[in-house]
Amino acid sequence: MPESTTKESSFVSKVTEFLSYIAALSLFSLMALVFISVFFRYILNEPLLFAEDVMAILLGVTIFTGVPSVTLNRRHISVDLLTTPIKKRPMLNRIRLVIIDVGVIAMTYFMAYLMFQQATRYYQRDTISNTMEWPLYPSVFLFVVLILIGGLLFTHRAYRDKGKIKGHGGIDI
Amino acid sequence: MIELAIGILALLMIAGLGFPLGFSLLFVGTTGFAMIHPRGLDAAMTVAGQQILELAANHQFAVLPLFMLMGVFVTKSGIADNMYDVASKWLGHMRGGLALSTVTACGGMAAISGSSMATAATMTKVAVPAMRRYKYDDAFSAGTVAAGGTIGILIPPSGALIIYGLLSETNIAHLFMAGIIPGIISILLYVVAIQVVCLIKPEWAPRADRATWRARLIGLKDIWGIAALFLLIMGGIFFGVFTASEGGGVGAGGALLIAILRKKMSPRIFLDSLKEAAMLTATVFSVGFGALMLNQFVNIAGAPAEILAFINSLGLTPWGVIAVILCCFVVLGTIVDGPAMIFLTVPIFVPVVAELNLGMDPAYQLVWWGIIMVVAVEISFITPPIGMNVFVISSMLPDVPLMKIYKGITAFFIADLIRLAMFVNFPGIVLWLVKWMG
Repeated sequence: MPESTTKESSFVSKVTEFLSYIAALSLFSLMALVFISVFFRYILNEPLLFAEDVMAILLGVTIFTGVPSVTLNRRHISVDLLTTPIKKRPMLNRIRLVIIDVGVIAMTYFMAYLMFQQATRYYQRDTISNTMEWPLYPSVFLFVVLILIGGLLFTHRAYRDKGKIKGHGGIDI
Repeated sequence: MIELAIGILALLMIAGLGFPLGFSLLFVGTTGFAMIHPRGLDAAMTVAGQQILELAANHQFAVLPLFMLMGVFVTKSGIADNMYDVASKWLGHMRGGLALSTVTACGGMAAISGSSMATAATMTKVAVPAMRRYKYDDAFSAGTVAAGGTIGILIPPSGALIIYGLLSETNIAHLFMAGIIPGIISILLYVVAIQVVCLIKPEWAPRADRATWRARLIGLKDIWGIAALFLLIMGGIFFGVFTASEGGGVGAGGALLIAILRKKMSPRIFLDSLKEAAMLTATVFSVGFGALMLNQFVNIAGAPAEILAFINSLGLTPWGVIAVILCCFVVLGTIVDGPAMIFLTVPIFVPVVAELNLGMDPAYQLVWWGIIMVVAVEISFITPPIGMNVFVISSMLPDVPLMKIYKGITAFFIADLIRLAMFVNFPGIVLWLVKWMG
């Protein structure tokens, strides 16, 4: 896992930790809901009508509370095809890492804006969920807030690091 | 089409410099779409927003985090560790028995963890010390674990198949069923590869002690719960009792229950598992957002039709096209790691494959291609210079040089190529169970 070479402020650490707990709770709720809904449908013959709509919200919350941790830990999937010659020059590599951080910040806010547009559209058009007919805009606005929090935390992290990071992101599927 | 060529070049540049793949895909996809669409950036941003929400807030896609959670529960609680122990009791006394046990245990673990590197890492810890104790050749031991680990992404529930299903809009339950027979064949071919190595170099893999029948039967009690869980999930999906997402929920809940009953789930492990699975989910979905947007760009650029027209102008048959695409995978596999390869290639190759007349039922063509693609990605896990499984094992066995591990993989690599050729030439092997399922 990549490491930041600067110490994180306790506030940022606490917020990040809090978000990761929310993501964990949301994922557990998702699992429990699916488990219970299968039980209700096949054993008690009483399908939980709200299950699909709640699952969609929980999935979104899991993703958008998880993204800040992924970004802060720099665990996004990366390819690094052309980086070998740059990595041999520490100054050049640091500039590359700063540019990447700035790009990540820009794309995070861009994603927040895209979600904000969608939320506004849902609000204006009274878009509702498929089964329970709940309005969708509140959950999308929640996603916007979560993305923005992630963006702010990473902006802070990137400012402190100023390209002084080591390691490589990645994921196992 | 020129816009797409520029876009792909830009994507390789941006992502190649280390910019996160998901953001690279989203940036190139949105910009490219804006350049082609008459309503420009406005339309591109609307489509991008819709794509993100369709993926992030769609209950059908809960299948991915739920199966990931099941894999993390199983791996972190260590309830899969005794699979090797059981396999070695049953097979260890045979020629190359501990290597056979490793491959079989890898298949068993793959069936519940769905992860290639997790399988390789776990097996390195449990199988390599045993093989060393019986004076197995280090290259062969490490090669067996590296190759055995690749089975992890083919046997369902497989993270790679789920991601392919999400991106290509292919039925995930069908993909799971299609993965079962190829997964079993993979294990059998590895068994043959081990036997061939033992014939040529018997000193590489001596026989281990024979376990008593009592010990073998007692060992089974450690794995019956996990085996039952796998059968419950796959049976449920096959007979239409569960959707794939429900199978994931039951699988994760079941794995948690088994771990608790075996007293292998502490509050710390439980919380860590949830946090890790949530983080994996966020990582994969953030790349998925970008891949879907690149898909939109590829489609609006008319790429599938133009690529097909170009291929037709070369006079290639549809099967020739498949061969060319597989060659691209081999080349990509030497420089790009497995997960990135799936995200990069699905938007570009799937529309092309969907248009080819391969003489099979069009409803199943993308299911077949999903398996072929995952097998190609599997091979990339052990292909130099970037073989992810080889790197994992190398980091855990620093005294075994990387080149030695690659040497130990040779027999398995040949088996992999035979396997790929089999599945390409005989699609019925892949699709038989899916067609039976209906």
